[in-house]
Amino acid sequence: MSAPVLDVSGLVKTFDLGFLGGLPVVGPWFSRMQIKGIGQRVEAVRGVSLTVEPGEIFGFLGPNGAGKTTTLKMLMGLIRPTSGKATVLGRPLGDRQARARLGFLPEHPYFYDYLKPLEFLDFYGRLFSLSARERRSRAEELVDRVGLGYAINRPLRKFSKGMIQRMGIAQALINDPDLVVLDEPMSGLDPMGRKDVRDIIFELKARGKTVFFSSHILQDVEAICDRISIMVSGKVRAVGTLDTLLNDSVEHVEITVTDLADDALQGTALDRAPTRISTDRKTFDVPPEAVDGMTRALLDAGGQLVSVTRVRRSLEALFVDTARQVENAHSETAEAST
Amino acid sequence: MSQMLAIALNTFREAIRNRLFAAMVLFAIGMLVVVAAFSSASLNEEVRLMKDMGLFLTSTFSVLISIFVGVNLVYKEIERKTIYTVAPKPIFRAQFLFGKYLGLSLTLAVLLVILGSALAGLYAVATDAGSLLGWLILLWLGWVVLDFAVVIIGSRRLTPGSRGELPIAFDTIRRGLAFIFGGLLVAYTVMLLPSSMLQALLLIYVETQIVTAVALLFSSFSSPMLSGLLTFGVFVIGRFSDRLSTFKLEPAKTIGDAVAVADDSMQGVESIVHFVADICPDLTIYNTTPYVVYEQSIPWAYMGQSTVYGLSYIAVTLALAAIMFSRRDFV
Repeated sequence: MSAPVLDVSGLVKTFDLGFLGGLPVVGPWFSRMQIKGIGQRVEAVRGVSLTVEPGEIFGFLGPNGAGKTTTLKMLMGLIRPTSGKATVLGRPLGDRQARARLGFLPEHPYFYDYLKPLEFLDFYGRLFSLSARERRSRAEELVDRVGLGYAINRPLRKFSKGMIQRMGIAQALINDPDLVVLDEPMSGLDPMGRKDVRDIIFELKARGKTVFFSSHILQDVEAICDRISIMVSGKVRAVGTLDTLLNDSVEHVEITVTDLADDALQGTALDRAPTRISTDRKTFDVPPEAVDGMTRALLDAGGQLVSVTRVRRSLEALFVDTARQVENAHSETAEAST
Repeated sequence: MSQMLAIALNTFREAIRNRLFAAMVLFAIGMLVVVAAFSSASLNEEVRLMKDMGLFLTSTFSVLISIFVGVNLVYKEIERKTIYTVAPKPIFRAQFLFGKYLGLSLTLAVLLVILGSALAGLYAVATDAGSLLGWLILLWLGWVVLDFAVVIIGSRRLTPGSRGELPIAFDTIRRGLAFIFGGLLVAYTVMLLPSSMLQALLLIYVETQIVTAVALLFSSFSSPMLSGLLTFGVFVIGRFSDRLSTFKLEPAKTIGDAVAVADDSMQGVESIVHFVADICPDLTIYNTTPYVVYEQSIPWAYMGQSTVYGLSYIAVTLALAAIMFSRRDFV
C-alpha cells in the first residue's frame, strides 16, 4: 500500500491570547495566568490524529468551533502547531515541494477584488512558477470548468458569493495538485453550484487525486465521501468509511410480517404492539439483539415474513450523537471539578 | 524571484487602483500648485521659495503615503484573508514580504516621478527657462490627475483596465500613449531641473524606502494603528536625529548632594535619548534643501554614502521583519 497523502499524529494547537498573551516570546508566560484581557490560553486542537490515503475523498466533519479550520490551517502552514507531527504528501509540514503539489481553498475566501478572473489565476500560476503558456491555458480551462466563462471581463469585486467560491476552487486547481484541501467548499452555493462542486470533486478522484474537505452539509458528505472523520472539541472522535461508521451503529431492525392476527403475540414474552400497520402488514421495530427471538415468535404466531431490515443511523444522527456525547462528558467533568 | 515579482506587481496594481492612494496623489499635486501660486506672489524669491516648499512637500507627502500604505500592506492581506491562499503556495514567507516591499517601492517611485514632474513643470514655468515645456509637463500631469480622479470617482467609461468594461485594446493603446508621452516629458524634466534638485529627489526616495521598511517591520507583528504611530514616531525621531544624538540636559541649579543625584538621573535620560536616536534611522542626511536652494551640486560621495547607509538600514529592518513574519500565525 502506498504512503498516506496526509498523516497527522497528535497535532495540538494552543493559542496565547489577550493584550500581553499575544506578545512574542513572553506571551505564553502571560497567557498561563488566565486573566481575561491580559493573557489567556485556549486549546483549539487537542491532539488530532488521522491518515488520508491516496485517491480517496475524505470528509472532515465537526460542529462550529470544533477546531477543523485550525487543523486545516496547520496542515497548510498558516499556523504553527504547538506540538504533534504531520506529513503532507510524504513531506513535513511547510515543505515547499509538498506545497507545489497542493491546492487549498480557505473558508469564506476573499480575493484581490480588483483583478479579473484571468489576471487572478495568472497571479496564482506565477506563485507556482508556471510558464506563461501554461498559466494562460490552465486559467482559461479552469474558468470554463467552474462555469465562469461569461464573467471573464469583470473584476472580482462584482462577483456574487457563489462566483467567488467558484473562483476559489479554480485557484486551488491552477497547479493541477495531487492533494486538494477544501474548507467548506459548498458554503454559499446554490443547489446547482453544489452539484458542480461535487462533480469537480468526483472528476478529481477519477484522475487519481486526493480530496480532503471539511463541510457542514452532511447530505453532500454522505453522497461523495469514501471516508469521514468527526471532530468535536479539538479531537477526532470517529473516523472510518461511512459504511463502517453507520453499520456499526445500527439503531434497530424492522421486521415486517403479513397474516398476523391482532392478538397473536398476546401472553407471550414478546408481546408488543406493532410500530406501523398498513392494510395486511405489520412492522415491528426491535433492538438488534432481539431479532432472532422476535422473528421466531412472529413465525410461530402464524405470521408470514416479508422483510427484516437493519435500520442504520443517519449521518446526521451519528454527528449529533457524537457531539452530544462529548458535550455531556465535558459538563460532567466540569460538575465534578466544582 | 519570479514569485516575488508576481507579488510585487500585484501590490503595485493594488496601490494604483486604490482610491485613497489616488486621492493622496491628487492632494499632493494640488498642494504643489498652491505653493507655486503663493511663491509667484513673493518678491524676487519665487524660485527659492518654490524649491524649498516644493521639496519639503514632496518629501513629506511621499513619507506619509509610504507610512499609510506600508502599515496596511501586510495587515490587509491577513485581515481580508487573502494571505490564506497565497501562503500555502510554494513560496517562503520572506519572499512574500519582500515582494510586498518591492511593490510598494515601485509605487513610490511612480509617485515621486509624478510629484517630481509636477515640480519640474512648475519650476520651468516659474523660471521662464522652458515655459512651453513646463506647460506640456503640466498638461501630462493633467492627464495623470484625470486618470486618478477616474479611479476615485469610479467611472466605468474611462478606465477599462480597472473596470473591465471596454475592449482591452483600447486600454492598452491609451496606457501606451500615456507611458510614451509621460516618459518623454520625464526625460525633458531630468534635463531641465537643476542637478541638485534631481539628487534631492533621489535621496527623498531613499528616505521613503527606509520609512516603508520600518512600517513593514512594525506591521509584521502589530495593528495598522499602532504600526502607523510607531513608524511616525521613528520618522520624527529620524528627522531630528542629529539634535537628539547630541542631546544634553541643562545642569540643575542646585548645590551639594542634590546636584549629584540630578546628574545621575540626567545622564540616564540622556543615554536613553541617545540610544533611541541611535537605533532610529538618521533621516537628517536626506534633507538636502540648503544645497538645492543655494544651487550647489550635492557631492556624489555624499549621495553614495547616504544611499549605502539607507540600503543597510533597509536590509537589517527587512531581515527583522521577515523573522517576525515567518513566526506569525495567520488565525
